[in-house]
Amino acid sequence: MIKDITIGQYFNGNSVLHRLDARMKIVLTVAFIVSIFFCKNFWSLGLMVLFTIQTVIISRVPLKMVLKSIKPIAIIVVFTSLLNIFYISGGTTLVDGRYIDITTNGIFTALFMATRIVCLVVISSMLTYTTTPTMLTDAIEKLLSPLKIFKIPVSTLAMMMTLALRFIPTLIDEIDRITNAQKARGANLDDGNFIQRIKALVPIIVPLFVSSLRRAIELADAMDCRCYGGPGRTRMKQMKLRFRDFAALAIMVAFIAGIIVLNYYFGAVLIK
Amino acid sequence: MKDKVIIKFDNVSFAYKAIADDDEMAATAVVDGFSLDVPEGQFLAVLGHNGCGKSTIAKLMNGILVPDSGKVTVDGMSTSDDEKIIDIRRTVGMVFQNPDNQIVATIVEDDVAFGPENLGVPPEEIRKRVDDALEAVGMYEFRGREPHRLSGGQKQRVAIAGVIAMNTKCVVMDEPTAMLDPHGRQEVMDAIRMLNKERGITVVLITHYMDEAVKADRVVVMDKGKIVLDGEPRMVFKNVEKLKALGLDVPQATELAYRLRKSGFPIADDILDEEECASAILRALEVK
Ligand SMILES: Nc1ncnc2c1ncn2[C@@H]1O[C@H](COP(=O)(O)OP(=O)(O)O)[C@@H](O)[C@H]1O
Ligand SMILES: [Mg+2]
Repeated sequence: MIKDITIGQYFNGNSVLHRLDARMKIVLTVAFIVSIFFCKNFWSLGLMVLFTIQTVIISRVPLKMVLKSIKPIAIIVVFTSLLNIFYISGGTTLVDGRYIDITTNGIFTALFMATRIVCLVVISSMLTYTTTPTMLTDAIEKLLSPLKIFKIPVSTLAMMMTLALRFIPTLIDEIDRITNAQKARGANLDDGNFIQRIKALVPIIVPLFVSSLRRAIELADAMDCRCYGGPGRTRMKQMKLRFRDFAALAIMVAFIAGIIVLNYYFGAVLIK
Repeated sequence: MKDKVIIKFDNVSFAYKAIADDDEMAATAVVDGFSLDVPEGQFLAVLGHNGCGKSTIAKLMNGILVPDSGKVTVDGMSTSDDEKIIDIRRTVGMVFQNPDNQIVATIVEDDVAFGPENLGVPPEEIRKRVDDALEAVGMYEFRGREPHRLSGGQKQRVAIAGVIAMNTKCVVMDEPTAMLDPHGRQEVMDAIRMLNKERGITVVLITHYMDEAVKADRVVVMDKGKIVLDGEPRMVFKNVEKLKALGLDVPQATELAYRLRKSGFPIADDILDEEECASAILRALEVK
């Protein structure tokens, strides 16, 4: 069961999105997220939804996996929508209750918020579905490298990220082992009230902490042996911007222009 | 250059110091007056019971630890010389016992590339070395996999590939098979033998499996931070009683021959494996 864990949530594939340069993908994702909040009417919102759906289709990531990434935020979406519906005023009043009003503005805001959050999550998960963790950390390292002039140890931070990703499955494995060992010694982890259960975690966390420290020491020795911090770090996998990366950039620019034009042309949907 | 020494211990002593104590109490020497020459191309096995200082010796071999007194030289460079430490580590690579604690990347080939990347090797050259190293240990098809999905033996072979890709002249392995099942042990032993025989890489194998030590060119037996036996496997394993007194086993075939001889059966005392044992028994029976 532990062996089935994927680090991050990479979906192995070979679509155009998979082959795009990771740096470009990060920049485009950020650009998309910013543009999301500029959608002011149903036309631009529709364009955004279309763009999102199209991206999912191009990525060839199965719909089931995409839906899985939305699941954890479903509650938040529903909750904020309800809050919006009940508390935003303005526009035409549809229901005039004693304590709460339901207005068109409320419903529209709720609809906009929900659509935006879903699109945001879907597009960000497209980034992680089509990019390996190694490529992601490498790209982040490259994108942040200008910060080096402020003496921020970008490479070290990227290495730490890689190691964290690398050790997640190992530590999960370890937790499993310690839990079983403590259960075999009669530890009761599943019963009792909240406080008791928290207390029951102590015999798991302490050994986990000790063994992690030991691992860290051994890992440091192993990295020393392989000359980490040596004469100059080159990379086997070079990142290179190709034609398709600029094409993707052009599409994103066109998309943002489309949003701006639609906003301007049709005006805002919310009535002040 | 058959007899060029690649790793030399010259009267080396070492003790772990408790950092909290200012007055250096109870820092008993783990390694004490230790001298050893490892010639280039040799396959050396180091034996000894738990806590006798084998891992300490290993870490002294490439400057992870430096001696308190005496000198360790690698290819003529002293490990106490900070300026030379990178050159020492690109000469002597190391494989540790726990494969999980020495793999740094989330993809097999990225991990193998880690060493050469740190050494500033150009990208195309790294690619070549990585492919070659993975090919050599039979892990090429696994290059795109995630290390945590591999078996112990496979992980350990990836670790060995990581050392090969650094083009080291020597590999020190600290009980690389201790956490593996018999199948994994066999895979790793095959990789080690290939390293030594086909690539001429010097191998220092620390182990507590006698059947692995038998395959070496030379066996060193340690006790309390000192060398007590040193020689070809055949010579060393003759000392059955001495090895047992040190809390060590001997290969099973050697043990059988030893017991037969003790009970008056005329059989040679330098038997190492099952085949030798069988033919020696046959010969003895024919003479009778
Ligand atoms: N980091 C350390 N700090 C203090 N003592 C240590 C440390 N590592 C090992 N020792 C002690 O040094 C002795 C030799 O250890 P080691 O070289 O690991 O032996 P071996 O590998 O043969 O089992 C042991 O008694 C051990 O307790
Ligand atoms: Mg040891």
